[in-house]
Amino acid sequence: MAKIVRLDVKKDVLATLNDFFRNLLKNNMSDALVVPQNLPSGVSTVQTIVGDPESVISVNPFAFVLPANSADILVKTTDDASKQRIVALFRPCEMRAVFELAKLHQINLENVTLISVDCLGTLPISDYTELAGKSEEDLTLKLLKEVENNGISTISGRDLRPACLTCEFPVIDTADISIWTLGLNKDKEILLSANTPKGEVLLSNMGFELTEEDPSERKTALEALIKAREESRDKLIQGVKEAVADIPGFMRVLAGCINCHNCMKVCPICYCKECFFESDVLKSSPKQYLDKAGKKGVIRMPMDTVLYHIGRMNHMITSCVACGQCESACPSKIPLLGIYLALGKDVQTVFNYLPGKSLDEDLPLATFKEEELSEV
Amino acid sequence: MVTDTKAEETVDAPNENEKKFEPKIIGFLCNWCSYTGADLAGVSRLQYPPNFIPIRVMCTGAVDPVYVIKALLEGADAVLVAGCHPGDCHYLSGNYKARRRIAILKKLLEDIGLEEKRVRLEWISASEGQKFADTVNEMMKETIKLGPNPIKSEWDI
Repeated sequence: MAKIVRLDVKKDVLATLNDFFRNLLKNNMSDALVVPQNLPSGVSTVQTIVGDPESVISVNPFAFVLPANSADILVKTTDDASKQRIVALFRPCEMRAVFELAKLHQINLENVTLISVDCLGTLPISDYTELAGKSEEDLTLKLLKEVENNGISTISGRDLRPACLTCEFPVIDTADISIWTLGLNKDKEILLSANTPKGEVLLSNMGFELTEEDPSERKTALEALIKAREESRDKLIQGVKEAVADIPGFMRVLAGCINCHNCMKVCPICYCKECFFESDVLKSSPKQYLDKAGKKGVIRMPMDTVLYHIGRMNHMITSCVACGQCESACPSKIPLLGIYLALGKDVQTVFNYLPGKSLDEDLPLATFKEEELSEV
Repeated sequence: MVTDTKAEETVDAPNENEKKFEPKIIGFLCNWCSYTGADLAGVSRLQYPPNFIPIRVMCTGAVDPVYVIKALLEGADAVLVAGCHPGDCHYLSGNYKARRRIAILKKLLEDIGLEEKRVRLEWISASEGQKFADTVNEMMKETIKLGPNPIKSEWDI
């Protein structure tokens, strides 16, 4: 049984949430907010750090666009000495990255209250800004209605990002509070579920009364959504596995890599201050380049693209939350999401680990058992 | 430490085709156990192929899989990572962590069609000179069976 607060929707779902978050700051429940808000131009929605209730103006966690996996904001705004309270609103893939980063000791969650939303997916940024530029009314409200009527894989004739199409975690109920909308009538009410004591305290301090219930409409809608997502995930995984199953195939998939390292730069899990692959360790001297060319006959420039990709996987794939930002950022459209999903699943299965599922499970690379992996 | 014996003499009767292929094997050996074990193999005049190239590291836990991949991409046909037996690590748990990293590496290599057998993790103590020589001989044999590492000859890596 979940502990629920019902918020009546008066004008629309976004206005209701905006009021909720503004009141959080106004009533001194938090010193700062991390919330996605519409840009003044209206063509995109970005994460913001807000310190003044009057600046909570266009909170929008339902926009069908995710310019970045913003788990990184809590890396920037918390440390071991953090005393200020933060309430942060994230999508499920961002939330799972937050959990991974907390376990990697990059985020201090002590004074952070995490709020998640039910996520229906996002479009590529360029598709979204184009649609938003043309739209007369609020694009989010318009698309929410469209999705209710037409299903979940295309919006206004455009495909969702592959990461969203294959996402098996459209909701995450391990955050302190989750905002429930799935399967519910968003025009009438939204539900806030307090999943942890911290979440309960925040909601009751705000004067809400919590009731125990388990809305079956949400459960049914969620099951259907996850089933559809899992089907497309399995299809994608199968396709990728066949494509990279041998060295020539793997090389073909990576052929477009220009070694820009965008995939690492936008990756929420890649937190290193200096990436190993940009460090001096892999730098070659003029003599080394020419020696290598002499020995091998010819070398591809820029060098080390395959080393980078397999190496990076070894470093972070156990924590990959499959948010697909790497693929979205790739100028050569390398199907990185599929690769990380497919290979990630295999590796994570070895350790029976689901990245971002909870804070309790140890990171596979930070722990060990004395008796294990005898086949290695 | 490395004897002058040719690889062919230490492996069991390879056929004509296999005879031409002399695999290059890189070994990351932990300072406290396996490197000393390799030393003992040398001192005891145990024979193992000369085309095994040892690299001394302080601990198998310090072997970033990237180095193993780099070796494979740049000409190694197989890579041995060898360290102290479980429970014997000089740094207490380095070898356990290495085991997890190598498990991940092997899984990934398998997925992209590179035989995971080309990477091998072994526990060889300072007193196991014989085990060291046997391991290298056995690896040499297996690598000859596998044939040359397909990715080392690609230039577009």
